[in-house]
Amino acid sequence: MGKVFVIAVREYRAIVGTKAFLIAIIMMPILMGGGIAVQIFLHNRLGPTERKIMVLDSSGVMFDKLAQAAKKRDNEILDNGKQIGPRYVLTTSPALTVTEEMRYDLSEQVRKGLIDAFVEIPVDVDKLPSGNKQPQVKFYAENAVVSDELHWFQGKINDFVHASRLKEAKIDPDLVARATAWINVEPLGLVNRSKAGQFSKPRESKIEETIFLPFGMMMLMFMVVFLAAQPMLESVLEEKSQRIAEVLLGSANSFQLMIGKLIGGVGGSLTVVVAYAAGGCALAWYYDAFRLVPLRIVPWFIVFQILAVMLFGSIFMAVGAAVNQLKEAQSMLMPIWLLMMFPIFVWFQVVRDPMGSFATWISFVPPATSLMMVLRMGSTAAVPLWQPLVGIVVMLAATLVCIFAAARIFRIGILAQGKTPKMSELFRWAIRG
Amino acid sequence: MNAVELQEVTKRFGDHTAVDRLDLAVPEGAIYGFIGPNGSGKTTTLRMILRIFYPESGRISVLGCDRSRVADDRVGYLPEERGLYKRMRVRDLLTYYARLKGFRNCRREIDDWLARFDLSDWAARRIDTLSKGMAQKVQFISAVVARPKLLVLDEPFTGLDPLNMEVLKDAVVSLHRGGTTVIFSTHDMDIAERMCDTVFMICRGRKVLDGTLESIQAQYGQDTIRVRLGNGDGAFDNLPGVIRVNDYGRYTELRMDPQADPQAILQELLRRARVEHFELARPSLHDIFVRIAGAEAQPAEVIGHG
Repeated sequence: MGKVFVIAVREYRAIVGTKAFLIAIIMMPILMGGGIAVQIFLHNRLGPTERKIMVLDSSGVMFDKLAQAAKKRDNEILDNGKQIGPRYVLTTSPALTVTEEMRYDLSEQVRKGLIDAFVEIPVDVDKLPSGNKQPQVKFYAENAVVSDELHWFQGKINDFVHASRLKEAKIDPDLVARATAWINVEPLGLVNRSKAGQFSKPRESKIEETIFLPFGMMMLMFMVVFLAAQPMLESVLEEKSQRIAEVLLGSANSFQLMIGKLIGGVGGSLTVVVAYAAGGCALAWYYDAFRLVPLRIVPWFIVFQILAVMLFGSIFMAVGAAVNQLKEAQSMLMPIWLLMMFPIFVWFQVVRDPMGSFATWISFVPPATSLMMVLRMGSTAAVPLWQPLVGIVVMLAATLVCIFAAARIFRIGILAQGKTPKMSELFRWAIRG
Repeated sequence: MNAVELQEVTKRFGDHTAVDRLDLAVPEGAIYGFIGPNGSGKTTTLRMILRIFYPESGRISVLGCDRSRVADDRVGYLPEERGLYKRMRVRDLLTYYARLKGFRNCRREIDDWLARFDLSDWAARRIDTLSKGMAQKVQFISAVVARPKLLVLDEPFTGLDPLNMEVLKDAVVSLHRGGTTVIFSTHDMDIAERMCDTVFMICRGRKVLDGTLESIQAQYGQDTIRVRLGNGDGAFDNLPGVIRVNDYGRYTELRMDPQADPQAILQELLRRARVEHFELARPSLHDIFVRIAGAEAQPAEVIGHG
């Protein structure tokens, strides 16, 4: 046990004490969350200050209304007097009939950057249609479908057309608005009764709690497993390629080496969790959302994370011992990566119905168990206690099998040089030793 | 008492028998030299002594223990293929290896060894900043820092310049004088002749030599003549009673037929050329090695006594 501890301490220091680890621990959330923030910032602050749009209004009544709405919008895009989005500068053409020649000329103007888009509004767009056929408004731009202006025009034109048509039909728009007002269906959790017989108020079911929180927890576990398992592979590969392994095997056997490394890796992963959890809690506290922090599943998260790190860590180490170069390891790890990422492929289905049969069964199939169980438990669903307990047992059994098989591969592979073994050979080593 | 005992030890890798029914006894306090051609089974034998490999059959006892599946903490090991954690600092690395051997309060021992090898100023430096010679010395310290009772060195002097070789040789000798049993494998027959009490040779996985240098040489008798001629190109051609001629430049070594008379050979040489030096000698370890490992090798013939 003493040797295992000595190895674990060195491995822990080797993982945590590197610049790469610190950079990874800082960069991972920055890359994931910061990317979105940067995009929003760039969109609002560094985008164009105005968008020039030509309106070809064959109806003769829409342009003035749209121009007024655009002017009104100019005030809405000010944040403390600073413009945070582009102004819409609308112009119109006197011609009431749009020809192919006009469309081409305007398209050329868009291409040359003289204008950003043009809109074609048909005759009688504001009139009540006799049948089901609706007139078509057309929006032309370089990337029309992702254009913010398209959505603005869609909203405004529909507002004006509806008002005009209701007026034509002599229906009070206010009456229609009241009659068709949206009835909200409030999403709530379940009602509980205390021992004293008092009923609790059901919790409001929020999208953050139901979708984002469990997904975030699952991704945190995924990142932690990745951050711990990859250095374990590199450490074994270094010991093999730098011929350190034989010195170590002169002091400890392969099983002690592997267990020591795994414990060091688990220590490294717990460091990541503590760092991220502390950061998350601080953010939640700052934004007054600490009640969203799922303290009840923290112990489960830690247990499942330790098991996942040990399972994937042992596989990564076995691969590291079997190959001679990182490049070879990457190709051999491809199927392992797919297994590791499987929960990410199905997370939405699971989080939508965390108590459904698919979600329940898949969370008992290692190696998906850890990520799936955390995903389900992180949601608002009340997962029965026996399920995570069975999950732990199943995961523990799979982890032990993996460790024993990996230790056999490790023992043979760590001193083997030359040709990289095939997958079939690895299985043979794992089974026969 | 023997520090290491191997009885009928066999190790196979697939169809290849690396070590075949090997018997060996290394007495406590000896310096025991392992020699043999490349791929003969030396390193495999050493690895089995270290419990890195387990034999298919036979018994291995190390420092009185024959059941362990883990290397004994009283055994120090310097493998042939050397490597160190490049990003670790010298002192941290040596502390790690010492603690792996269960030696916790190792600071003073490390300081002593670093001072002895003139590496004290490098204790806080990373391994990747050391020269090759320095790294080899650090590797040697890592093998001896935990005060081993048995020291196993696989090709310890390979790649060292004469100065560093001398430093390491002195360290090995002083450890031996302190009571440490030393086993080392080498291709340098000169080193083996000068340092080892006993020499063991393995060839194709089987023991072919085992004994003191004197006992081994005695088995061959004085069948070697060292000659230096003043002139006489071709004087050794078809020389009666000589079965092998080996020209070393400064002198020539002749191996006699067992039935040949050295006086007759001398007379014939005097007839053919001017003889400046003529010496009847026992074969060197190098010569014995070449005889056994070369085409003349007699499989399964064990010479000498342990």
